[in-house]
Amino acid sequence: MEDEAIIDLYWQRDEEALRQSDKKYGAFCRQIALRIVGILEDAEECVNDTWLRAWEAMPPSRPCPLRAFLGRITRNLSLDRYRAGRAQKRGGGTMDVLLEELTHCLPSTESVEGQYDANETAAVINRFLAELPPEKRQMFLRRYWFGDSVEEIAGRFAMRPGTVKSSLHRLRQRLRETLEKEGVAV
Amino acid sequence: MSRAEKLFEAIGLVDDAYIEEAADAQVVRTPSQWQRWGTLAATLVLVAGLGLAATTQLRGCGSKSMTADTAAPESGMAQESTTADSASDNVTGGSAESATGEDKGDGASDGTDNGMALPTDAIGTELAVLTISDGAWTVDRHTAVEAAEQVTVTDTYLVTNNGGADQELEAQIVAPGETVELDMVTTSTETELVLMPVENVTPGVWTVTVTAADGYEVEGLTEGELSWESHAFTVSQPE
Repeated sequence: MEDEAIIDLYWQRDEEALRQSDKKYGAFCRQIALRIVGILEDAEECVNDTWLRAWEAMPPSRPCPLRAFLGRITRNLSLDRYRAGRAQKRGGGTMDVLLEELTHCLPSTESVEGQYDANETAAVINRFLAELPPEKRQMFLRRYWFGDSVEEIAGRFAMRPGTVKSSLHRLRQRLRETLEKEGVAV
Repeated sequence: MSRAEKLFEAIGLVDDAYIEEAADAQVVRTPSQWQRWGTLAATLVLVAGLGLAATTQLRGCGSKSMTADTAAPESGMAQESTTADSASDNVTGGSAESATGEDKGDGASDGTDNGMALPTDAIGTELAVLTISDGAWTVDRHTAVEAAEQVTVTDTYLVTNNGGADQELEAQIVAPGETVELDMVTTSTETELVLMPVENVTPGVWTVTVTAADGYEVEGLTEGELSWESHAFTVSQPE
């Protein structure tokens, strides 16, 4: 079913929207959730919650593209669940590794002032991404948006894992430089 | 929420267009495209001598090279000479192993697979893969710049959006004080070598020597203090 048709179902308050969403994007969202929360049952709950959030958001929203919209909801829900799980000292799958890597992107606290603003930081990251070659941008997002493993990225881009690692290293370095240059507080 | 989590959260807010682009990202590389690279311009033997122990001695004193044991300028000269011989061997069809097998630094041959058995006499030869025990340095990337043509090649190269092609080495960890030799095949005349330090390691001094194959010359040898350094050298064939 086309995205527009699925969105129409949401607008019509037809519960078929949930089934169609799961049919078309369930695997996509489940993969995102699983990489973040690391536990299948938790990932499943995140995906189910995603459809409910989408149900609440549409209407009034008519998201386009629908996939990114749903994926983002899943990602946010999964991050929340990861935090809750961590508070209970449960493992977070690859999330701990991702966060450890992202610490290398963080500007030093001395280099920035002000309060963290997620949207402002995202705007800077958008500019950072815009300046990257498409392949590098995709690698960065596959790792830090989708949570792909290095091996998965290597397979996707027909590279060696070592090449992916070094590329990600350089990208993290560049992001850090960008954040510091822009004075972003994180 | 930790700072890393905040950053992870902010990354989640990037433009939908980028998410869509990455969601569908898939690159298929075709090895047959190697043939588009034309003739082999040069076979290079690169000697990277890296050392933390010798940092103080070498910094600012213009040394040419260093070895695992001494890091002394004299040793570096000896290393260069050996390297030139090795390059000659390569051009005449010798393997990378024959070019370098007898002359690795101590650390490079210390019980590890140095991956030096790859042939260097064919276009498209995959770069040597060095695996050296724990150390501080990574020889990260060798970039062959092909200015005139968009090139699609195998997985050791990346096609970039500016018409260049990145030839990437497997990350190689070089222990402090070790000397490693890398056999590279380049088909372009302008080459950029990028070295980077392993994370959280204080940069030291490194020395790189590039020796061209017979009939070619190299200009712009790279030498300097390692910190995300990028140095270009040029291979040319005198008329």
